[in-house]
Amino acid sequence: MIEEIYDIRQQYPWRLSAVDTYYILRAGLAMPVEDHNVILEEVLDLIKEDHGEPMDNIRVVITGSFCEQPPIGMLKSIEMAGCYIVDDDLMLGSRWTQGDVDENTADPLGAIVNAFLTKSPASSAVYDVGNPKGARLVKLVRRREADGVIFCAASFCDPALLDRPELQKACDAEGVAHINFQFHENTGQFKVIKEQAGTFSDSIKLWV
Amino acid sequence: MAQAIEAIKEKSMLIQKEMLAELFTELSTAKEKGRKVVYTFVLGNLTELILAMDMLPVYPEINALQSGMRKKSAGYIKDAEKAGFSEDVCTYVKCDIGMMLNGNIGPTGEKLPEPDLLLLSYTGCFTFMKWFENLERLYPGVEIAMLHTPYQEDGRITDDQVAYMVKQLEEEVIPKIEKVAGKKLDRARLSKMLEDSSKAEDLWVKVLESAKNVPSPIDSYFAGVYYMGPLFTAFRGSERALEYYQELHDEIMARKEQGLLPITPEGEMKEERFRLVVEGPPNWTNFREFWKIFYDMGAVIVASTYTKVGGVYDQGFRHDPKNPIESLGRYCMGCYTNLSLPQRVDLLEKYIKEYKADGFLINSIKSCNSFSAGQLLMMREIEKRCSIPVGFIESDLVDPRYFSYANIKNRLESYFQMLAQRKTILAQEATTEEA
Repeated sequence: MIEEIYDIRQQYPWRLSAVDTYYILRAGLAMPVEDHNVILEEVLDLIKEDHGEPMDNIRVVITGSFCEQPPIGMLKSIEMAGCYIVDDDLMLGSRWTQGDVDENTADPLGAIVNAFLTKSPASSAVYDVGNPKGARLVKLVRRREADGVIFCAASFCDPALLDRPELQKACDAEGVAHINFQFHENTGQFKVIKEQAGTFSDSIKLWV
Repeated sequence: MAQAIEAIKEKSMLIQKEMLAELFTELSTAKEKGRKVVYTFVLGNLTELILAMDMLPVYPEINALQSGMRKKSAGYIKDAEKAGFSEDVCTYVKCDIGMMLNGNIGPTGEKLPEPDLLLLSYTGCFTFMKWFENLERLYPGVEIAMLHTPYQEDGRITDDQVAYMVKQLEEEVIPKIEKVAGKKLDRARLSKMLEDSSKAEDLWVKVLESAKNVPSPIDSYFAGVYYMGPLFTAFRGSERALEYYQELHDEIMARKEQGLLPITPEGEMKEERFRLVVEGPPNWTNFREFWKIFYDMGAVIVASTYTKVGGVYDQGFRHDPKNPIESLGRYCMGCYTNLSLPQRVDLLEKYIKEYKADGFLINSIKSCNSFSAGQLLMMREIEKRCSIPVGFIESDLVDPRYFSYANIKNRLESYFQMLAQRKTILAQEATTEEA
């Protein structure tokens, strides 16, 4: 259902803001899955209906290997600056196992280990030189028909920041526009972030 | 600011300088001579394994710190930042990448050879893994061996962890090294090297413990980083390292016998006013200026945690020639940066008491998350347990933009005044009690 929400938002991002999407998904970390699924169904029903008006925004993918969650103000500032966030890697931990853990086994612990080893997502914390992360990011940008990428990792996250040169190189090679800023623990001022994101949005609207 | 005068060096320092010069010359001709080159890291290094296979090690952090001391790091860091590296990430990484982008000319001016193997045995520093990812991109297709060292989460090394390390070494690391070297590991030779390592480690511990003497004949931090060099890097397990530590040991013991104080770049200290324990790495870009602030004030570092990053030998660990592979695994897991926070605090408390320290100081490194995380907690805990003044300064490893001489000097001078005042009060209290 989460994937479906993202797919609908890709086409009609004005129907549900990225901040609201984030709140809804994050709530799922604090309640039973069954209860959260009911909410997701309601959200799906809501965004399947046509409402709201598209704005003259650009479409961006934000990336920051978010084990540490950014302040909501940062996401809000990016949206208010004229960017529809059409994909992200927020709440990385909650997306860790991609697919189902094998249930038909006499070794449940082994099944969990196996899922961790074979069904983990791409992450800065995983050594994966054989699977270029730059190419994966560009593929996501293409799939979501995004206009650009915003790199916005935590300033204290070496793994995410050390990935950036490679990701940036891949974006440059494929002509994907990108900008970068970082958030700090307890960041409270978003004016600079809003200005940067706004300039990025304007530059794409005007010249790309 | 410190004058650019020629530093006074002890004989052991001159020997070490020769050893390093020889190593870099060997590295510069490695390819012509068919020697295989292994890039690896200092923390939890497997030097004996590399040397036993007649390979040559290159330590990227050592190149970075050497570049820092030789005032080359600022340019390298800027070039790495131009390539997309954030201003907030480890400056060792940026300095190293910048050096490679500029032709990989090593600290001695000779070109460093490309790696035949990237051997990652990272210990307590996750950035190392990302560093090697970046190196792999600079040298696509290079062979890689990874040794995952479990963190001492529970404050001890468990049997399962040892078994895990041995399995990785036997099934992954050694076969990969053998493949690159083109020959089988001579285990008898490895054991002989570990025996020499162990002897050198005995001597090193005696050198460190000489600082328990009042006055201390050594500075365990600023001089300590030189003393630890051969054991922590390319020479552990070699006869040359053993010779070096014998010479160093004899020098220091002679100084101790004579009641002499530490040698500094400007000669021997004349007075030991304050005895300190220091946590965190030093700043390399302004190393002599930094040291001078201390020796000008009569402050001697009697114990430091940085001189334990390549092994906490003073707490009993020795490489064991009878159990070579297990011993290498235990070594990796036992390095300071792989200790849990409570273990680090316990160790600091022990140092403060055993080395009769007057104060505890933290040099927090702006770009080193693995060292800096938890340091404020350490500070509070030590203050509580030891009731001594604690100080906190901030600088960086090799980014000169983060070494503010005036700020650091001001803060240290205030700290030394506090220590002096406390000494006066303690002396007055002692006199009153006697009366």
